[in-house]
Formats: sequence, C-alpha cells, structure tokens
Amino acid sequence: MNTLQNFSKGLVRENPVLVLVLGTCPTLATSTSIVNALGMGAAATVVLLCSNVVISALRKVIPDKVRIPCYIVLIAGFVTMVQMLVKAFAPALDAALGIYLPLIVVNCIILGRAEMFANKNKIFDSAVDALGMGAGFTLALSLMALIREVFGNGTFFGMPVPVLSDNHMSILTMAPGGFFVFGLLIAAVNKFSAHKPKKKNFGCTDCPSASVCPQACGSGEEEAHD
Amino acid sequence: MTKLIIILLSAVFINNYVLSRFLGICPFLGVSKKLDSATGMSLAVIFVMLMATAATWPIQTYLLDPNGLGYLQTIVFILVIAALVQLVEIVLKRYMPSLHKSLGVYLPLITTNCAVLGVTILNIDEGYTFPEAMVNSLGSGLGFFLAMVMFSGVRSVLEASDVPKSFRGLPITLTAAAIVSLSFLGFGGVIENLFA
Amino acid sequence: MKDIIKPIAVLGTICLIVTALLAYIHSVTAPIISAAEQKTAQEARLEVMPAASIFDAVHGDLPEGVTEAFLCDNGGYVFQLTIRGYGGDIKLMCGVLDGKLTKIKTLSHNETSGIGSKVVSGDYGNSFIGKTESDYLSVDSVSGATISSTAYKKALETAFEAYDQLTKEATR
Repeated sequence: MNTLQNFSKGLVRENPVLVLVLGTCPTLATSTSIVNALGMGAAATVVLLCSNVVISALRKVIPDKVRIPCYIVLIAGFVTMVQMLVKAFAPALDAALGIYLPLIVVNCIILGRAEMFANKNKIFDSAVDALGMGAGFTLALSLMALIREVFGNGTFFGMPVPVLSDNHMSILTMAPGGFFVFGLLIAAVNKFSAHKPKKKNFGCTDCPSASVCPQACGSGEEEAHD
Repeated sequence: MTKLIIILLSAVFINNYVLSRFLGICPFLGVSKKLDSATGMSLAVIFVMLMATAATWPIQTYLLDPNGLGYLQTIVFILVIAALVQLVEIVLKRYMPSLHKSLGVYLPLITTNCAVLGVTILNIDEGYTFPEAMVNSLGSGLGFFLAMVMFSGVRSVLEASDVPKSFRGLPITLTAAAIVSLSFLGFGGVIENLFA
Repeated sequence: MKDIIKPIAVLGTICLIVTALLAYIHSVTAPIISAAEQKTAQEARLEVMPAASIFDAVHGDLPEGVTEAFLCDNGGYVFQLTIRGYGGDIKLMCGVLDGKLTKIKTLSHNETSGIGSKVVSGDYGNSFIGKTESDYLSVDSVSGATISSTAYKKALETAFEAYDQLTKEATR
C-alpha cells in the first residue's frame, strides 16, 4: 500500500465515522455548527497523530500484556495537553466543545487505530494513517455540521443564509436532528457503495465492543455472537 | 432534598445521557438489539457509574485539587475507571460467578464507554457535593437503562419491518433513535415546575 | 519474574514521562488560561455596567441563585445568576444601579433553539433595561416560551432581592 492510498483510505473507503461507525458520540454532539465540527476534528486529529506516532515508535518497547493501559495513558496525556492548549489559546472553542474535549480519550477511533495500525506499522505510515483518519473524521463531522447548521440554524459559518435564516428547522440542531441526519448520511453512503462488494472485517475484531456489537461494526446483517 | 430529587429526575429525563447528551451511543446502538443484553449492559453501567463516582469524586476533591493537580483529571479518571472495571470483574468472577456470567461480557466494554467517564467529569464540572454527585450518577445510569430498554423494544419491531435496502441496519436504527429522542424533548421544563 | 517486572517498569515509566510533560505544559498554559478567564469576566462585567471600572467581589450570604456579586465603584452592583430554564441551567449576568437594571447578559444557556432561545438571546433582555423591582414584571413574556420567560424573570427577582439585601447592609 503506498502512502497516498494509506492516506485516502481514511477519507472514503474506511471513513471512521460513516463506514466504520466509530466515534459516534462526538460526531452527534459537536456537529451542531461548522466551527465546532472543525474544532473537534482538529483536536481529535492532533491527538490521533501524536498517539499513533508515539505508539508506533514504542511498539517494540511496550510489552503485549500492558499495551492497552499504556495506550490509554498516552492518549489521555495527549488529550489533556490538547485540552490545556485549547483552553489557553481558543477559550471560545473550549466552551463550545465542553465535556466532549476530554472525552476524546474514549473515542474509539483513537484506541482503534493504535490497536489496529500503529502497533504494527512504521512511524511514517502510522502518521499518514492518523492524518487520513483524522481528515476523514473531520470531513464527516463537517458534512453533518453543514447540513445541521445551514438547515437547522439558517447560518453558514455563523453568517445568515438568505431564505433559510427565516425558515430554519430548529429540530435539526437539537438531539433528534443529530440522529436523523447521521442516519440519512449513512443511508446515502450505503446507497452509493451498494454495488461494491462489502468489505468484511475492518479490524473490528480488535474493537473492545466487538463481542456484543455486530451492528456498530458495519456488518449489520450478522447475528450477535453473545 | 428537593435539590436531590431535581438532580435525579433531570438526569433521567431532561439531560438523558444517551438521548440528549449523546454519551454512550456505541453501546446504545450496539447492544440494544435484544432486551436481555440491553438490561445486562445497563445494569453493569449503573453499577460502574456509581463505583466510579464514589472513587473519583474523593480523589478529585481531596487529592488532586488541594495539590493543584486538577489538570491530571482526565488521565487519573480513565485509569481509575479502567482499574475499577478490572477489579469488579475479578471480584465478581471469584465470589459471584452467576452475576459475572450475566454481566461479565459487558464489563470490559464499559472502560471505553464515554458515559462513565462523562458522568465523573460532569460531577466535578457542575460542582456537585458528594451526595449530589452520587444521585446524579444514579440518575444518569437509570436514564441510560431507560433509553436502552425502550429502544430495544423499538428495535424488535424494526427487525420485523420491511425497510428500504439502503436504510437497512444502522440508518433505520438511527432514524428510530431520533424519534425516541424526540419524545424525551417533551420532558424539558417539567421537572422544575413540579416543585415550583 | 522478568515477565512481571518489565511490563510494570514500562507502564510506570510511561506514566512518569506523561505526567512530567503535562506538568510542564500546565505551568506554561495556566497563567494564560487564568488571565484569559479574568479578562472575559471583566469584559462581561463592563458590558452590563459600562459606567464602572472597578468591581469588588462581595462575599456573604446571598439569595439562592446568585452565584457571584460585585460592588462597582459607581455604587451599583453586578450579579451573576444561575436559574433552571427549560433545557438546563441558564447563566445570566446583570447590573443594578440605583434600583434600576442597567443591562442583562446571557453567559450560557441550553434553551430550545428558536423558542426559548428568543428569551435568552437577542433583544428580549434589552426590554428590561431601566426597569425597577416594581415594574420589571410588566414586561411581556415571549409567547410560546413561557417556561424560559418565567425562569428569566425569576432570575431578575433574585437579583433584586440580592440588591435590596446588599444596599440595606451597606447603609446599616
């Protein structure tokens, strides 16, 4: 796999949000405005990049037995760093993201990439993978935020959109709208990728939820194994 | 006392973790297919939430804050939760094998459940006292339980229905979740006025 | 034996390094964060009480719902208020000078977009400017957003209560 493919798989074919369906909580919660979505995407990408690089660099040092605790400590460390930097230099973004900023720690995308990619690959490849996945996450988030902000709030980057600003559907910016728009987007992805053979095993077996989670792993037709 | 009741009811209904705060969506979508697994998961979550709050609140108040180490919150909390989950699993396996059999499979998942980390951090952010924090955790857990159980009912109906091809699986589940969460919007403002 | 020591050593080392790094970044960012917080708080106070320049925090028994109170150098008071609205807590800041409201500013809210949000953001708050304790209730509620409007007025009621209490204490 060359570098370009490695990068672009995160954008489309293995988009973490729309295809792998990871990190749903921040996706739903922070996609109410485009600015928040970009901020969340950037914060998660930085954490993902740092954790992927460091975990890849330490992959021969970290013993297999304690690898998950090690990853969690590293990821939590990077999240706290990002949190402090955002608080210091972008307080408005910190207020908007609130609790979801520290919760990047438990974002499945980050632990998932560490477990699936970074601990088996070289530093450079892991960095590229992180950037691709981060970009894919940001892209999906921004797409949702675009729909929710333009139609739900009648604004685009905070600027009023003609016609829509007087006739906005507030429900889209509220909780039900988040679920609904997310459902529509995944349905659209299913529609357009229907002719391609469904790629099995995105590495979901490594996900901590794999044993009881057939649905969230992109293979909805399978029966639960529990 | 009134304040505790308000905290409890708002955590269950108004600020429902799953349906209005979007925390713990992964298990909500993944484990709600069958009623028994939904119940098992929710009970495990309630249990871990209470334990985690009981452990993290004192740590933050008596250990981190007096020493100016508040910034270590995230890293300490996630480690405490991870260790706690391991500990609970070992204890259950050793002394209550029957309970372990029913809750066991869900326990490892809970470490990465953002609802648990979320409730411990929010308890600190909101400045709750210890009893308030415990009540809030209980309410959050019950809210999770309510959402899971309600939604597993909805899903059993969805299973049997004829859905357009591209909507099968997750999309129709999310659309149904949207409607369930719509119903919870109706609780807004009610609780405060019960005691007004 | 080696199987036990090595994992513990590695995990311990990683924890130590991460904590040390965090401590360093915290020491760099903490002053910036607190300066920024103070600046925003000061700007918010200036917005509700433009005529004043010095704000002294008032301590003591304040009515429930008043989270902070400041005595201004022009004799007015600035109050920070928290009240439960429709979708959660509403945080407001308002200034009272000579028994009249100077301005009300919403710090944060969680009201329904398009309904309750009309109360807490936009022009609604401005219709209370200059009102006193006896006539602030004459301002109409926003139709369709009764709960948010009632909560808003309740917050102002506690502000007036706190104002009365503090001015009484001052003259005594």
